Amino acid sequence: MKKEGCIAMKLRIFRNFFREAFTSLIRNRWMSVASIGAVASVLIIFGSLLLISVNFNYILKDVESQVEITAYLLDTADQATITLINRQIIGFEGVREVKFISKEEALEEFKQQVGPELLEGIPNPLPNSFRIKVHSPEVVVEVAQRIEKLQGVEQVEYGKGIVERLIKIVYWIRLIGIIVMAVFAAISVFIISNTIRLTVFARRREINIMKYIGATDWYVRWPFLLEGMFLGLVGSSIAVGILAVAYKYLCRAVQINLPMISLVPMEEFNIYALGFLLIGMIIGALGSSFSIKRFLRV
Amino acid sequence: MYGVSKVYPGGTYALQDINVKISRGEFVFIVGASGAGKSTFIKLMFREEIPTRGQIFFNGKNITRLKPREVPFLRRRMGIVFQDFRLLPEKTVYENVAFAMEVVEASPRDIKKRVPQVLESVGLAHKANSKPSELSGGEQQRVALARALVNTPDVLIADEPTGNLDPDTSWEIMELLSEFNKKGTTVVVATHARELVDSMKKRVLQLDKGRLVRDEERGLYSHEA
Repeated sequence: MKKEGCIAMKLRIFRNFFREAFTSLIRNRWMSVASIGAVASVLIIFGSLLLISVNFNYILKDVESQVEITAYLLDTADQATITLINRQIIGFEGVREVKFISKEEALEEFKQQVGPELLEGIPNPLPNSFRIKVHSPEVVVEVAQRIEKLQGVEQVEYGKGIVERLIKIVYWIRLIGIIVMAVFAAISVFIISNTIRLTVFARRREINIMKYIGATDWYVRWPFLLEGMFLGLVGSSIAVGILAVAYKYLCRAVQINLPMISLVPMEEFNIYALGFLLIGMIIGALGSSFSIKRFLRV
Repeated sequence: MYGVSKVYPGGTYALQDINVKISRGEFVFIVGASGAGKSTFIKLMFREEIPTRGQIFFNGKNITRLKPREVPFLRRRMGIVFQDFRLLPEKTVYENVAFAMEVVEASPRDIKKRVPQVLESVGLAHKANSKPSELSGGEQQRVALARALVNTPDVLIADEPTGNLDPDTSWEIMELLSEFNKKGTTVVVATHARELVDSMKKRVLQLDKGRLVRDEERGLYSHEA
């Protein structure tokens, strides 16, 4: 092996692998284009679904964070009791924010909602209360039950049905999203593996001879892996490009027409884009390793 | 040392209880009718197949116990020639031979030096840039021979190397094999070319229905009547 460095040699061999991968990409250019197209369209569907589910989650988080617990206090509770209750509620797990609303503030608020003239001359009927926000909707019920048991608390209210329904909706969206994505990923792997199979099939004699001569499995495998990864990468780049443009327009349109809905910002999209390219490459590599497997058994 | 000793029965009709030792530098013919087990014998040698029972040793190493990862390195010590040549049609003669060295990750410098030498030794230096399709069967088999020998293997294994060739060309190939044998390479040839075996007067292993029925130095293709 002379004095040639080991790394230099590996590099040279890899250069050959790249050359072989690209030669076969060009030789089967129509199949390559077809599989890039297939991967791109699959990943666009996949990406749209991902964006929908991510945004749905994002919006739901927004809604979730608005779920509040209101604890009404007994009129007999004095200032010391109120302070104690406040401290106890803050100490509960999952509590994000506690706000005290005095009788007077509650009345003010109520007046604004129903009009001041209606309540003229009547003594303030509203109790002191706490408004509590939690970190996630799953803990709402538990926190509410614990607050109810505190000394000086008369009654606790929270959006019972809404909270439970929200949790269920989020769960189903996530589950369906995961299933659909897994199916689409499998389809992409299948398409790429079919394309690579053509190349492998065209070169089966060569592979067979290589194995008899004493080529290692990895030596045989690399050019095909590179080819598959390249197909996956190009496909996913196209998908990311199209999705990025489409999402930008969507964000702008939503901002103008439905300002109350906030979508996942573009910066976060970029992180997904990176993941997408990676997924594309993994899909490609998986697809080609499926096709080669059979031919390595000599 | 190159020593094969194997004891194995095949499943239904492969090979049964074969005990053979082939020493370094030997020239051995394996003869027998079609289906007698010649090909299985050959396949076991370079571990395309694994014996159901028994052990095979090569250079003192038990090749029946090799991990799949180690098999390529076993094959690098062997040169293999097939009846159907198995050349790559789109590559030239030179590239076909060089390919065997690229696959085992030899340096370009070594390849440039070694390939012309080997082509010279099989008498095909002048055809280096031809495609296999432009060559006769005998020439193609010589290319295959060059490819098998380019990595200086310990043993050359040939499965019916003259099966597709006419008698004269077959002779040339056998003479080449014999020549390389004299230079020190162990040669194992499976064949049913009777005349060749008879006139070469080498060691003959005869297989019949999966059994070794004869092991004879300087033997003939079949028993005298």
